[in-house]
Amino acid sequence: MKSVELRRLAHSVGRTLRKAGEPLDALALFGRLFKENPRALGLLQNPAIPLDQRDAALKSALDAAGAPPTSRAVLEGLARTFTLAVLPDLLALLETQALRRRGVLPLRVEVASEPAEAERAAIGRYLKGLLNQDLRLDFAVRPSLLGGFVARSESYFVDASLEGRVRAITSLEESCP
Amino acid sequence: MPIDAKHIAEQIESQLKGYESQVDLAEVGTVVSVGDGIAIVHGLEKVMAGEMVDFGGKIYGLALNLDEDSIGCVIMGEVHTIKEGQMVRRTKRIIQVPVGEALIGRVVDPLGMPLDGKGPVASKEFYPVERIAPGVVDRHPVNTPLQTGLKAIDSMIPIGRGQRELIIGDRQTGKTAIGIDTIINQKGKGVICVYVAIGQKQSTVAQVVKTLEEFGAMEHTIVVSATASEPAPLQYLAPYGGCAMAEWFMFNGRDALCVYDDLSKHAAAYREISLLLRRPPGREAYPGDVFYLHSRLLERASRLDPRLGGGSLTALPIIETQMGDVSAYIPTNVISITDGQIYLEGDLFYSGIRPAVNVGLSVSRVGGNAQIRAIRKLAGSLRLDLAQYRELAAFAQFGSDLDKSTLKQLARGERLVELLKQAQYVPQDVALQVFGIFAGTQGYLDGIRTPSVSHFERELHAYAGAERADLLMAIREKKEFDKDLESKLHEALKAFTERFLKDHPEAAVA
Repeated sequence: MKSVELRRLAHSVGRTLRKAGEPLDALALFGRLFKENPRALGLLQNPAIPLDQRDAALKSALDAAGAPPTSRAVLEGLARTFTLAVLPDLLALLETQALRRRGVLPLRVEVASEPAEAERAAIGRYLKGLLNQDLRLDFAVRPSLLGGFVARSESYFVDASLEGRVRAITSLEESCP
Repeated sequence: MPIDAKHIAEQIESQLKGYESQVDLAEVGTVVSVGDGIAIVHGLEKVMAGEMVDFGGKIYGLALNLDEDSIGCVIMGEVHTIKEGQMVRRTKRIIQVPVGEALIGRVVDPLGMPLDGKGPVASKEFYPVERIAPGVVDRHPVNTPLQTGLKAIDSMIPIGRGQRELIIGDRQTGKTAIGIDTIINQKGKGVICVYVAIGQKQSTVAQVVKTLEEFGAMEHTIVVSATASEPAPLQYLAPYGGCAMAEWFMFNGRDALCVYDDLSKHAAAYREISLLLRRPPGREAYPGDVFYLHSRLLERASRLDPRLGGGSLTALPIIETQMGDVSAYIPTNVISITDGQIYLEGDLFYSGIRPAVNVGLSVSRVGGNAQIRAIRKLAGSLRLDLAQYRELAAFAQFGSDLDKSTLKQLARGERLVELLKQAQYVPQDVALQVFGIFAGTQGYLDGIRTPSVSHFERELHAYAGAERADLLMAIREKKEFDKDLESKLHEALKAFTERFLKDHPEAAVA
């Protein structure tokens, strides 16, 4: 599924779930299940197995999990269109949406080396002051940054890295006649 | 001298005390799909409609569709370098173009980038391509003529500075030629011209530039080129960019002329963009706001009030019709927006009447106030004579038995039609036009054979320039076309006609 279609799907699923007042728990449970047990996902997506048998298997799994009706419909719809594999990405988008609705901005922060707890807290404070929002930080290590950090959300990009400074200086040099 | 480590450390500390790490905070989005010159971008929550967005690598886009969870951008530049997942930055500004004197004589693209290999445009000022047109209180009535140098137009369909006059006709009927002639005729008259080529062949634009250079018209002209090979967004922007460049002169108290060649292709480029952005198609598949597309452009043409400098921007939009169909969507739109139209006909063109202006269907709604008195007085009888001629000529083809007065009127009409013919790139001074038209409407051509009319006119101009310069001056300067001037014209024409017939007896009607 193309990312634009996935985003549209996330948008409409999120809206439907909100209307129904259902949490993301059931979808999250199945997301974890498929991640930990890819064979289950493979079986549910296997076109060689007759559709009614696959439907029955999914139905029993949903019954066992006690999935509410809207979440059921979403999972059944994904299974019928052979797109159950997008569930982890869909969940990530739905979680982001839920956070944004609560006024929390999810940010992926990349640093040059594994940060200490104090550094994480300092970066968090700095970004909160800069963006003036509650944040949920997700740290990752990228040595090519050389130093500093970059933070990225859907709508913001903060570059406080040495790599960024070097790039800026290089482009300044290139633009000089 | 021993090295003092403490001193050095202090120096470093004091130097770096004021250092603040520079942080680049940008509002960004992510390309989720790209194709056909359109990018769908997720993020960029606060982007404004019409804002320029930066794809990196000197590629910019224009945010046109603001949807709930994504925005639709048209890409200006190399589309194939943009990839899914690429970051897009807000620029927080509307597209701007360089403006000012530095652009005169240059050939630029719709964003003001040079195309003529004469180096960068040394311009310090920038104007946004989109701007709200001057309001009612900021405007002044159109009262100064903008002469095209074409007899048929200056006499019967006069254009004033600040007017919007449409040039409409089928392909190959001389629409561009009128625009180019008008630009050439502005030489030494203080009017800065902007020629905007939209969706044309590069060879055609090169030919236009060459012609303008040959006639020394590039000295007061800017050429904005968005050829057929450019992406649709650049073609869409071209007239707005050209208009912004011309507006600078208007807002600085000067007169400017903008020729949009042509708005049919501009509408087609906008249709392409709109369909790719999945906007609902309407009549002829154009989007619903195609009227606004042209009205907001042409409304920017105006004559400013003297308290605002009194500058003007005249617009000459060109529309190409298909098989003479003026009732198509875009022609009717632009006809209703403009202050008149010059209608060119293929039949007239191929029968040798050039410029092929259909004077019956052409009109200028405000230009009459701007005409000089002499030509305004003559235009009335010229129109009447031509109208009578057309009516009689239509009837005369069914019968041969015509009375004397009808034959006389037909002969007069034939000579007037011949008189209004004019070669390309030979604009005429208005005073010389008055001489010629006065001769035609007052019957001085009645005794000349029709094929000799152009010869008569050429010699008349030479005579007027050499021997009656006083009269030419009076025509240009006098506020009124009074009895005195009229009698002097009669006297001059009588003398000249006698001399011409004596020198060229073969030109006389048998």
